[in-house]
Amino acid sequence: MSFNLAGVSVVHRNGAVALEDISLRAGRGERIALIGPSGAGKTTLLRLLAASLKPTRGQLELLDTPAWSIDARALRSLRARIGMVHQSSAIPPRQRVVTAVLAGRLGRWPRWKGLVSWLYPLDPAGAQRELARLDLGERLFDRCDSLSGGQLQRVALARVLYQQPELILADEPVSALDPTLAELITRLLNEEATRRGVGLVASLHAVDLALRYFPRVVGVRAGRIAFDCAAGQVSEAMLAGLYGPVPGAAGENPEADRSATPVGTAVPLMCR
Amino acid sequence: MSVRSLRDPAALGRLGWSIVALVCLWPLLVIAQFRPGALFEAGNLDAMGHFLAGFWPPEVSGFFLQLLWTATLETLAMATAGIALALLLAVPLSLAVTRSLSAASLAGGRHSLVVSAVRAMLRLLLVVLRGVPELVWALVFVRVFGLGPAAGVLALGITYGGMLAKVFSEILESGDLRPARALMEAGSGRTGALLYGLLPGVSQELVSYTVYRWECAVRASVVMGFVGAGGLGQLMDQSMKMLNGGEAATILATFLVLVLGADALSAWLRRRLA
Repeated sequence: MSFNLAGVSVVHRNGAVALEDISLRAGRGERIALIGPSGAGKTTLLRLLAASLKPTRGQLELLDTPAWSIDARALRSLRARIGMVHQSSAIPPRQRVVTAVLAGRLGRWPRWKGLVSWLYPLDPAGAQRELARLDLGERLFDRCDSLSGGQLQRVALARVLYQQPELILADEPVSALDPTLAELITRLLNEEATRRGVGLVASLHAVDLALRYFPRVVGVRAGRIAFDCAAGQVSEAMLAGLYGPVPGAAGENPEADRSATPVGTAVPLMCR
Repeated sequence: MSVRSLRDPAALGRLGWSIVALVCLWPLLVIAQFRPGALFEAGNLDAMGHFLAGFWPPEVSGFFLQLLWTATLETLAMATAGIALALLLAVPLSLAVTRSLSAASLAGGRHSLVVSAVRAMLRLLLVVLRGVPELVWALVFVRVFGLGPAAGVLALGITYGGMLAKVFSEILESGDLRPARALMEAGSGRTGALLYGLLPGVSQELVSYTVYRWECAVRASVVMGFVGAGGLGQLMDQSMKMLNGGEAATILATFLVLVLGADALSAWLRRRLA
């Protein structure tokens, strides 16, 4: 099993409820797209799955491990088995591609190896392998700030692949890219996850990409799961409900609410 | 809803604070007996002119240049060894006192009370290290090691260790923490996150501040020479005591060259690391 969330809630310290009573599970190798409006809780959900955020309530199991009832060392090695592709900001610009990719395995390497490899890259062949698969093999010793946005995102992807995670997470991995590149990165993510037989959960703003590349689509809205369906079952009405105005929320203009899609109130068709 | 008035609501506050700053400054200038007019009174100008005229022409005899060369080397050695010692002290201390580098911060958790207390103690230690001027440390150590650069090296190491640690930790705290956080989320330890995540973004600033401190150390080692720590300062002290302005002028010129050299080195290093 990739992960299992049962009745999970996240309440921030200021009292704001980010996620409310989420139950979600995924088998090994399942590929899931998270969609929903900004602020719905997609990033919070991904941080839960990355074992970087502790749920306020509920049960959370990642890779068959209860993430928050194990000691710090075990938590670290659990995190090393989960890889996260961030929006491009996670790689320092003044770093060489080879170092950025090798950093992916810091969680698995003993400390001395991380130190030595910082001075002299210990496994350039391994980094090269992942980069070559993403068509970036010749940029191994270039600096990250000499790359374009799409190339940088592929370096981030190469790092996560080099990490050899059993679950790949991606937090809006393509939101800063043009449509062609966005599609390329989305396709590569899915291909690599499939090839390795590992789970993939990616939050996306581009609904068409989510529906086209991911077998399973989870809609998140206002901290709850609005729907959890096979991509083929997602209807126009469900999407309209997902992105429509939140009922009861203080709108800029109350008149506009009436003219908008009427499905905003109820969660449409639950698939699961 | 639109704002009621288009007047900048921050302007009044800014004006107020500027006035407060000026009002505070005035009595301080009076206490410091700051009277720039005194510079231009006839008698004073004469006295200064006399003093400065004594510096001309600079001394360039072979014997003196020989002495100068040895003293310059000694000063450079003192400054460099002092900075090396300071780095040895500053690197672990700065890592220990940097809040944002703690495992708790990077994981987004709370800080334990014990860790916060230890950090506060170390910060206090840094204040003591850099709060006592290097000249005072040098006076103390000259009594232990006798006349010569050894006392200067130790004095520089201690004071500058405190300064470097403070500024290093500030630079580390102002760096972009997202790459380091991402690495910690992927199971990396603190050391790995620091080396691979934080350092690439701040190394240029760290190096340039260290080189600037080295430049300061060159100047400080001259001052310490006056209390017997050797180098250009001691030579300068002797020349001044013998009222030999020409020698003093040559020493000052050497000084300028050293500072210019440090500046060029810093610029070159920054370019390399940019």
